[in-house]
Amino acid sequence: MNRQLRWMRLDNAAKIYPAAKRRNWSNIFRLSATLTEEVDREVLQRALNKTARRFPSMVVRIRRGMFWYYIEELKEPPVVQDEKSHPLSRMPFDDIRKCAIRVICYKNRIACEFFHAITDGNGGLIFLKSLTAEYLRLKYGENIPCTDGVFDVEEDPDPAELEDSFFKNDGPVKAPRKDDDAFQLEGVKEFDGYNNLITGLIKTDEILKLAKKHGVTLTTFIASVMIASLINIQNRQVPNKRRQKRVKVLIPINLRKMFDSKTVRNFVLYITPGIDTRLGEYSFEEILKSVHHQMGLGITKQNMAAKIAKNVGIEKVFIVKIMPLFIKNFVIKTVYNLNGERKSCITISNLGNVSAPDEWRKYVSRLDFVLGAPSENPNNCGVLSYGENLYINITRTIKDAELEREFFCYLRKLGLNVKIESNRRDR
Amino acid sequence: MYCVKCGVELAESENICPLCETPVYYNGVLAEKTEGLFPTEEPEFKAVNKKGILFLFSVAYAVAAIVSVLCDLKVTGTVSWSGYVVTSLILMYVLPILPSWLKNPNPVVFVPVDFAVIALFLCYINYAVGGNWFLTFALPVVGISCIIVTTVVTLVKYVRKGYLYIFGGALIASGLSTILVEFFSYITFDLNTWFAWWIYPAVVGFLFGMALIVIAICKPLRVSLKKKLFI
Repeated sequence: MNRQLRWMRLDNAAKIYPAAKRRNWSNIFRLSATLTEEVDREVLQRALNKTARRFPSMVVRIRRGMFWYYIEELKEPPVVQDEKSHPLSRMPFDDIRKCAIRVICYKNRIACEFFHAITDGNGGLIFLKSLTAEYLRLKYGENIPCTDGVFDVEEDPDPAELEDSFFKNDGPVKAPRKDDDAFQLEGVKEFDGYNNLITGLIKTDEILKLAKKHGVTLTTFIASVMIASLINIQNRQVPNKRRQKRVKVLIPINLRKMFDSKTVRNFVLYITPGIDTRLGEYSFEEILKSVHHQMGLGITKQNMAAKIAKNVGIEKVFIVKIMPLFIKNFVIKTVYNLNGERKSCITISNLGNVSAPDEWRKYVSRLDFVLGAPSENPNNCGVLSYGENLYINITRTIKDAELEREFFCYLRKLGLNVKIESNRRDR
Repeated sequence: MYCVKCGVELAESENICPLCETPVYYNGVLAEKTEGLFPTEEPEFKAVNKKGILFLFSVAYAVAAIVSVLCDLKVTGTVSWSGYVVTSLILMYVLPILPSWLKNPNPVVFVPVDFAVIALFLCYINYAVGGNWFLTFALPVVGISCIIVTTVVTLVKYVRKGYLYIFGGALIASGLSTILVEFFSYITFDLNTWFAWWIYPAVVGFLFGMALIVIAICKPLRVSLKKKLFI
């Protein structure tokens, strides 16, 4: 007898992604672990088959209901795929309807690409760590403890991991959503949707020391360097100050610690610190100070609860609930196209310093976090630190690497040694 | 390895700096590119084949036309209703699909062709239903529209400036042409009066057309409108 497949509503933040998708663009991100030895594909498939059961909200497909999309468990775990010449190759919605996650194996690397509706970076990292741990157990018989975000794949999933934490944590008051438009980078798009990736490797202790010297966190420091780079680019492209727009970066905030949630589904909100360049010139110290204070003011439990309340509030309106899906899609898509990406220049998602059991670290030499570029904006940036390195992955859908050049050279001028890798193709 | 221009360290896999495109030379020779982060074979990019799609459309149109004629012949023994279907299909083929076969279709050629096909279509309808409105009404009206649209398209394509004058003039001409339309409908359909309605579209066309021409002549007005209406 066929077993009943588990299904779930999409969480509050996820609802936008299936609606905002385009024919040749969906919001996806990638996490990868590079091992010390070549990956055994067959063992990885076995590890995936076991891990898939532990994550019933992630190894899923997206399906259409009459009024909402929902996620449904897969009958069979997905098959491990080959790497393409670039990360985050197109994931059309037809694929997402079959499976919203890809596991890819290339040489020493295990990569997972997630459709954003099923989880966020932190949830994805737990999946990758658990999958890799299971692989290492099967391959090397290593006894890897289930701590530091490695889940025991033999256990049943905890209901708290599958909850929509937005609904539990909405505040009493709704935060206004009004925000100014930000400066947008432009360029000649790659004709075939090629995702250019440039990775900057920096010694974590060096950059941390520099951030500490300025009295700010690492995220604030990177965001400030990005803002300073974008200001330089805008000054070149739009010399007339009065015609300039704000330079803002979008920083996702992990809400799990703030609201004591164990969910592995989406539970992030955003803050968009920035500089109004029309007001005059800013020195790097002034940018750092401003971003630091904007982050301090914005990232509070009360503020985030009010933002959650605003998002959840819409979903609770009866008329919205009974509106057929295609109308909802049309409205969400229109609002997203008009506003979604115009409020910031780039997203910088920092997963922080990744912790893992020592037995696991022994086999894993590197981790990478790559965000897919949005539909209109050309760049996105994923950051994490693992071991002694900080990995800054900047993706780009246009040909010229102007932002990356400006950003990494800025870091270089601040005295940091930056090592660059890329998937640059010969032109 | 370091980039001599940016000063960043380059991974072994890079022989050209990904940031500034400066090649890396080692002892005067371009450094060799080793295997990088991703496989170099790119999946074949499948662009949509425009000609193939047009061919499919053409086949679909032809099949629809043949099937309707065959059904008609089988049921009625003669070409009756299928005539309308076939002529409509021809019209729908010539207007959007025929120009798509060419790389750069010239509108100055295709606009008169389109109007000619419209005239033939109306001619067929006229004779099929036994009407007598084609020569005295449909043909002149289509002819007038053809002259106005072709003139506008030709001027826009070849003069490439003075758009406000062109469209202003076109609006005035369209407005005034309604007098002829009313005249032809009067002689064709035996109406009692022929001086009934042409004045309204003519006045509207004239006013809007003149407004465009005034805007074209008066530079300060044009500048202030541009400031108010830019998108």
